[in-house]
Amino acid sequence: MDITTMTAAALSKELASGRLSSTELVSAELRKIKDNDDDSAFITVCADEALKAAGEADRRRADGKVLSFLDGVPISLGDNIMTKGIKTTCASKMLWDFVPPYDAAVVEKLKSAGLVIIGKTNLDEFAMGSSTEAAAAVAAFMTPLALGSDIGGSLRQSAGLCGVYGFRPTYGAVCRYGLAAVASSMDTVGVIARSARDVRLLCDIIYGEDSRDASSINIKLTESEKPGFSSMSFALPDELFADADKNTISAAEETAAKLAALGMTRKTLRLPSLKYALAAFIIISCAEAASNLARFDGVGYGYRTGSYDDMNELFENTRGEGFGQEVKRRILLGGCALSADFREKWFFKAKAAAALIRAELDKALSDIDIIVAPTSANPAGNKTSGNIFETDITLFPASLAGLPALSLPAGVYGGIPTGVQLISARRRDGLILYTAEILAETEAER
Amino acid sequence: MQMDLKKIAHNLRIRLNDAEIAEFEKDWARLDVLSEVFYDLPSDISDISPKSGSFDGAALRSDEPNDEQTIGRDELLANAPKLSKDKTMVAVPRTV
Repeated sequence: MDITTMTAAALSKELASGRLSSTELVSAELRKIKDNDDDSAFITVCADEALKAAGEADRRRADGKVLSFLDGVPISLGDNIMTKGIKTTCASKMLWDFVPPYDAAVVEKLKSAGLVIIGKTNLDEFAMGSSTEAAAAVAAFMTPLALGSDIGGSLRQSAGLCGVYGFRPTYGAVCRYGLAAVASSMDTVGVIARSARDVRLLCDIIYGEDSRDASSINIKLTESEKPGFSSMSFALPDELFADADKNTISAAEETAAKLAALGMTRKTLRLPSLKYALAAFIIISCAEAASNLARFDGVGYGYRTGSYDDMNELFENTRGEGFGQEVKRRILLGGCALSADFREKWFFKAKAAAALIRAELDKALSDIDIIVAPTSANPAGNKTSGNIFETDITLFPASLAGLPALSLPAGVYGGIPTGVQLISARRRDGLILYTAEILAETEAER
Repeated sequence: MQMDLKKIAHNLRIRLNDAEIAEFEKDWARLDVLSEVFYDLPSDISDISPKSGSFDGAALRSDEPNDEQTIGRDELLANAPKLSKDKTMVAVPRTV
C-alpha cells in the first residue's frame, strides 16, 4: 500500500508498530511533492528541516520517549502561519522575503508533539479567498494533515471542493498568536485532513488557552463529548439552501438521512437574520483587514518601494506596489466602512447585524444540536477568483457567530467533490467531530 | 452619497491607478446597494455600537473569560510614548 494515501491515525499505528519510520514516511511525502507539485501547492518545501525532525522522531521512538500519538507524522502549514527561520510570505509581494524570528503558538504545539513540518502551502494573498492549496496537498497525498486559516469559510470551501475534511474550530479554541491577522473577530486556525478522526487528533494537540491571545479559550475534546444520538436533533435551515443546486441538496439530504438513521430527530429551523450575513461579512471583514494591514508600510519589515522622495510616497508606493488587487479592494472598502461618512450606515449596522445573527444561532443551537448545511451552494459553478462578493453565504454563519463547523466529504457529482457542513454551538467542537467519526464508521460498514 | 475613493486611498496611504479606482468604485456601489438590507434591522439592536475604547469583536463575546484583558484605545493612547513633532524620520534598520 502507498503509505502517502493513509490517514494520520493509520500512519501513527504503523510508526508505533515499527513497520514504518518517520524518515521513510517524510521521504515518501517529499518525493510525492517533488513529482506532483506542478501547480505550486507549496510555496516552501522544508525538505532538510523535515528530514532532520523525522530523524529526531525516530530516535525518540527508539528510546521510548514518544511525544504524542502523532509524533513523527508530517504536516503542512499555510504560509500565513509564522515559522521561525522559515520564510512566511502570506503569498504576498509585501512579505516575499520575510523570515519570522518566532514560531506561531500552533507551531510550538506541533513541535512539542513531535509533528514534522513538511512545508508551507500557497494561499490567496493574506488568506483573502481560499486555502485551496492546503486542501489540495492533503487530497493529492502530499501530506496527511494541514493547517490553514478560516476567515469567511475558505478553508471549509477548499476542503469541500477537494473531497477532504476541513474544520473551523470554535473562535478562540486555537491560539492565534503567530497567525497573520486579517479579520481579527473571525480569524481562526483550521484543520484539513483525510478523516474526521485525524481532525480530532490534531485538534487535541493544538487546542488551548494562551495568554498571548486574549480571545483564546479552553475546550477539551474528551470522550464525554461522544454523542447520545437518541436525545439529539438536527435541522437543515431553508436560508442556507436558497441558492443550492440539486446535487448539493441531495448530498445534504443524504447526510441528514444518515443522522436520522443514527437516531437523531429532524427539526424545522428558520434563520431569517441570515439575509444580513453577506453585507455584514463583507463590511466587517474589510474594515478589520484595513486596520490590520495598516502595519505593512515598508518601514519595519517586508517589501519597500524603490521609488519615493518623502515619507508619504514611501507608504503609498510601498502599499500600492506590495499588495495585490483583492487586498487593495478590501482595504479600500474597509476604509470606506470606517470613514466618518459611512461608519454609522455600514460598520455599526454590520456589527449589529452580526450580533443579531449570533443571537439567533445561539438560540437555535440551544434547542437543536447540529445544523446541516451545504459547504458550497453550487460546487460546479464555484468561482475561485477570491473576489469577496463571490463568497458562498453558506459559510458565513459559523464565521460571524464564532461557531465550530466541519465540512465533510459528501460524494462526487459530475466529477466535482461536494461537501456538507455540520455546525454546532460554541464549545461543542467535540460533538460534531465525534458525530462525523461515527458517520464515517457507519459508512465504512455499509 | 458618493465616496471620493482617491481621498480614501490617500488617507489609507495606498497608491491606486485609475483602472483600480474605477473597479473599486463599482465595488463600492455594489456594497452600498447590498448594505440597504440593513434598513429593516430590528430597532432594538440597530443602535448597537462598540463599547467605547474596546475591541468590539471581543467585547461582543461576553460569555468568554478573557474579555477584561482587552486593552482599550484610550488606555493605549494614555500610555503611548510622546512623539517628537519633528516629522523627519531616523532610518531604522529592518529587523527581519
